[in-house]
Amino acid sequence: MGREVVITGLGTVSCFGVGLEAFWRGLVEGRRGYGHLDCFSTAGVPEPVGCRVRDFNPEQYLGKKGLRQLDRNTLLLLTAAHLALSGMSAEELAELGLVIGTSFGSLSSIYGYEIDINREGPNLISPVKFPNTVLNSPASRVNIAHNLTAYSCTICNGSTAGLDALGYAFRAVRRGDYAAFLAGGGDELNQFIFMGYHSLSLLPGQGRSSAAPEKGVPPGEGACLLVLEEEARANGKRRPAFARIRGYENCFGEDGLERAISYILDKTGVEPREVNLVVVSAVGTRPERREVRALRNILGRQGCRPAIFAPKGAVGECYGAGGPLQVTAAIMAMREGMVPPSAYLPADYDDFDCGGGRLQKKEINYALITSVGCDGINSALLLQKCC
Amino acid sequence: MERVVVTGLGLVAPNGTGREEFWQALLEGRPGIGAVGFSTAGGRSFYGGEVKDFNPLNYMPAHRAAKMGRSSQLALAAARLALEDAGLSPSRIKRCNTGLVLGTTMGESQVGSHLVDSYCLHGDGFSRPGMMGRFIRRSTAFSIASHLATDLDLPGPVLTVPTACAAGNYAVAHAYDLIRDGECRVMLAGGVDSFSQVAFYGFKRIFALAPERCQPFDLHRKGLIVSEGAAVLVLESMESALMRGAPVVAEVLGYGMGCDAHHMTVPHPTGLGAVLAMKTAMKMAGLATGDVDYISAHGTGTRANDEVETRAIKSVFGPLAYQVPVSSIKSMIGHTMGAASAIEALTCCLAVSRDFIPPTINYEEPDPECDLDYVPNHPRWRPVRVAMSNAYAFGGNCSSLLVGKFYAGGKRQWAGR
Repeated sequence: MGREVVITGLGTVSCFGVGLEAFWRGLVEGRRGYGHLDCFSTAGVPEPVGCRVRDFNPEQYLGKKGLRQLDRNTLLLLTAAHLALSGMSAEELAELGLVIGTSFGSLSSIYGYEIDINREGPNLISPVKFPNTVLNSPASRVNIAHNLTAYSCTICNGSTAGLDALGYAFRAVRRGDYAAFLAGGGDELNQFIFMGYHSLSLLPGQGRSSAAPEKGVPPGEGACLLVLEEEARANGKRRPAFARIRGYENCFGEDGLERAISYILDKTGVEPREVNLVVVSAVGTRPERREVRALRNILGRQGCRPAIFAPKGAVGECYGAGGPLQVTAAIMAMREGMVPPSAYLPADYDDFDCGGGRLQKKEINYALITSVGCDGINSALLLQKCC
Repeated sequence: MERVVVTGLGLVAPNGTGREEFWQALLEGRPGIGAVGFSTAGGRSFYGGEVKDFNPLNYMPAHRAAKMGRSSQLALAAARLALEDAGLSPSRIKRCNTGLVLGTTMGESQVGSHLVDSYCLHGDGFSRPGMMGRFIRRSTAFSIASHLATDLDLPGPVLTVPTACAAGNYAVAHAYDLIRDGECRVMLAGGVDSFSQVAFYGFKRIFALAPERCQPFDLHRKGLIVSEGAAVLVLESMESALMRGAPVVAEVLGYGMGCDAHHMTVPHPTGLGAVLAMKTAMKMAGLATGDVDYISAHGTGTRANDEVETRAIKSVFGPLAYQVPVSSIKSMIGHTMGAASAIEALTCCLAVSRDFIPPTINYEEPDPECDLDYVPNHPRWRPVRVAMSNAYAFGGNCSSLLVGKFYAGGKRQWAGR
């Protein structure tokens, strides 16, 4: 049913730097983007590492005006939007919808405000910073910066937020309500998230046999926004499409991902053996068991051995940006005909073709992107190659 | 596409819990505003809308309540009331791929507040083992929806839409989309916020807080009143509702969104986003301005909002604007943030099903800039076929939702008038 939806624009900010090139080069070289964290207090953590976007200079892309009051998450998203929307006309921007996924959103602004209330007293807090405390503030700033008046939405769904934002936009375009959407997600790495990670023993090595960062996925940050467009319209404007989105589902619960993937395959009529790449969200934590089980039950049982790629080992757990970065990695793998090595992949995925840590050449027609959140939310999205 | 109906209403508001109690409060124009419980600077007492005497144990076991923040508790209470109202059994919830879309502004603000208080008091809150993790898990906005989905055993899509004060409308709109697309047969949609210190002091600091009462559209309006609450609506495909013989309260006819893209807190002077939202909603529903019998205004009681909203309504409805009753229930319950538009959507469902229009209370002196019919101080009984609910948020996120009286026959009886 409905219209075909293609991806025609990409804006990526990751720990490998700003832009698609930097991101893909980092993945292909099999690098790991973590480093020592010194930008906020990490008292009590023996070896604080995370995938922070280093030497990030938003002024280079956004100009100097009005950046001072914005939080980092917003700056990351504004930069990604700037990259994704380059070359679009004012008329196109006027009918472009926007949906942004974020896990923690304005957390640092909210907590910062609470700290100010406590320390300075409620009468001396900054009126200018107050708007930053609402969770839709980063998205609304993108609306304001690019004069996007058609639609503004924020989705806050934990680790699956970014993929859910893409799914939200995909459905709106497929239904024909909107001709194009800017969708994706972003999250910053700040003290609150990092210390929360630490406190829950989720930092790599913590509470596990090994205490080395290379044995897990540290928290990260980034922003990734994609332009989704009705295929006929993109063709009409002679805009090249990166890939076609075929299906998306979000299901709650222990067996949610299994159901999500089978709904997608049922509705699109794509056979499990046609899926030759799965970009997984492997970070080495408990919810992943749902991912492994779903892949085994749906693909493994049919004797399928798709290639597996796990980008989070390279760029960190970027929450809202995670899903869109996975999608971007899949798009690049399709275009270049190669699957990068996974910097970190638990042994549970060994039933499938994990590439043995080497870059492999492979023709990819269908790529499945999966995302599992720690609270029981599961999402999956199916991409098809566009010729 | 599937037609989408509302079969269950549940809410926890400062002036009443549950559909009937809230309905009585609307009839009587009963406010739910009082002195707020938490200590405020300078020993002055401030006014807000708190849900008093809320006992979470009426809706969930103690061990679950202990794991949740207040927002989750309020939302779960509203969801349980809504499911009960709709008469949905757990097995049907499972079978219908039931999902949840929940809106919020501040998420679990009290949990975060508590954490920061302890951090500032002891200075070491963030590194004390377990502390930060426990809190951060419970304080994120999406934890509310996941608590609900876990407790109600929902199998379907679960989404949190934190589009601030318009979040309830966004939630209902997306749930409506999922049902008319045929993805789900039943959806829960709603909004929630617990009383937030950040919102309270923040609004105070931008001089948008009223001292004692909220007076939307009045000449002497001084701002909004911060409140808390939760509302959940059960949306169902018409086919599913009729098949199981559920009592249908109202039909969701369409929605529209728009964005000012102008300023984070100041509305666009001509109401660009608001106008776009209303027009898009009417286009989606295939209705004309003459079909709308009631507008539930965003009507926060701030100088800027009420003036711009009035202007936007006039620009969409033209001369008809003076004939459509416009009211704001925020005059009674204050601004419940993320819950506000969900409670107002629920109010619109009651309005179309019971042919009744709730009043704008505390209305004393007309403002020459706001010259529409605001249903001052007394409710009105008159036929309501279609109600429009407006909700606007920080960042200029504007939304309008249309709900109508339900006619099972294929042709809507008000069409083509």
